[in-house]
Amino acid sequence: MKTRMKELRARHDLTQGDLAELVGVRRETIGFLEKGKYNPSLKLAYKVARRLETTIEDLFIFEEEDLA
Amino acid sequence: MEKQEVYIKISYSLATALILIGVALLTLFENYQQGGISLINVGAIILFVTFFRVKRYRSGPLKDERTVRIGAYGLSYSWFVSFLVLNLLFWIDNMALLKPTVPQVLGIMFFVMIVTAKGFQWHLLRKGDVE
Repeated sequence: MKTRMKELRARHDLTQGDLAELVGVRRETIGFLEKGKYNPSLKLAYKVARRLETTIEDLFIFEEEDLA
Repeated sequence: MEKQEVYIKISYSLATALILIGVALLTLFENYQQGGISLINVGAIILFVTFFRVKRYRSGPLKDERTVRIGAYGLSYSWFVSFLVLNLLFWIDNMALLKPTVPQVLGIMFFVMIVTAKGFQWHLLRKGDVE
C-alpha cells in the first residue's frame, strides 16, 4: 500500500504528533501508516482523510498485488 | 525516542526480568525461596508504579486500534505456544523422560506465557501490523 499522507500532512503544516492527536491515535501509528506498513480501519482512514481534507482513495493507493 | 519512552521501556523490561527471575528461583531452587518472593514483589511494584506514571503523564492515548489489535494477536499466538509447551511437558512426563514437579511445571508455564506474549507483541509492534 502506498500513501500520500506524509506529503499532505506537510502541506497542512502538521507534525506526526499533531495529526495523531487530531485523529486520536498514537504517534507511532501515524508513522507506520506513512510508511505503508499498517492497514488502518475504515474509521481511522476516514478520520485521517477528513483531517487532511482529501478522500480515502486519494490518500491510500492500493495496487493489484496489495489486493490479492 | 523521547526520554520518557526510554524510561518506560527500561522500567517495564526490568520489572518483567525481575518477576521472571523470581519465578525461576521459586520453582527451580529450593534454597532461594525468600529471594524469589522478594524479586517478584519488587518487580510487581515497579510494574505498578510505571503503569500509573504512564497513565498520568503520557501525552496522547495509551492504546489505539493498532496496539489493541497487536495485543490481541500477541496473546493468541502466545496461547498457542503455551498449549504446545504444555503438550510437550505432558509427553515428557508420560514417557518418564523427566519427572517435573507441579511447582516446576507452573514456573515453566509462567515463564513461557509471559515471555511469548511480550515477545510476540514486541515483534508485532516493531513490524507495525499483524499481517
